Amino acid sequence: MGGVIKIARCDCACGTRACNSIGRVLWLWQGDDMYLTQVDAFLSGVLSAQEGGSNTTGRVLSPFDDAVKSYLLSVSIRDACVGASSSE
Amino acid sequence: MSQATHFVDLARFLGGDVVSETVSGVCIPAVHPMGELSCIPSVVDESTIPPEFRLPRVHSATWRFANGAVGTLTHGLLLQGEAYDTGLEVWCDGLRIAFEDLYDADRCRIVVRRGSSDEDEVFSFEVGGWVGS
Repeated sequence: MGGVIKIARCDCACGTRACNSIGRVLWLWQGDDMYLTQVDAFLSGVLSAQEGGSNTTGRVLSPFDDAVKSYLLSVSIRDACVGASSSE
Repeated sequence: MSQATHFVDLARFLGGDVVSETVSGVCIPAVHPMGELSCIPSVVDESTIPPEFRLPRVHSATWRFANGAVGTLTHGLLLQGEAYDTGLEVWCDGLRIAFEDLYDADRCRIVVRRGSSDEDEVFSFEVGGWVGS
């Protein structure tokens, strides 16, 4: 098989609803960074528990077992986008 | 990002791990002239949010999966209605699969074009969208 290109596109019109995957919290009302601060705190706890050998079943909110990786990738994407634009 | 993380999750589900060092992207910040919106839901008073915390209006990112595939993500806060407009496309050698309107119970469908055909095969669903909102 040749090279595979995967495209995910999302144009959200809501402005009033938050994503359920990590938590229905804050978002536009209080700003994305404040939202991320809370999520980061939660996930830091999950990661610490995993590193400590604790069972974190039930603490990961995505349908997929490696939701934390997906979240961290989301953060990387956001940081890459915002960082590139703020340096212009 | 708070909405698009579902699609990042799906991209990883389909494509596997991502080489994080390859992630790059750009956005239109809220404070950029291009980021000025003519309509924001009335329940949101963005003037109360410090400018540095306001959400960018558009993100566009690319990355490479560990298997060598390429991924892209585009996310915007531009439409003025209430419905999401979402999609996820998978492009392969001789195959394109488009998942359309995953949040919309009535419009959710899969469009497939494969082989040497120029025709789309369309698959619809009788019950619900794929991603609960």
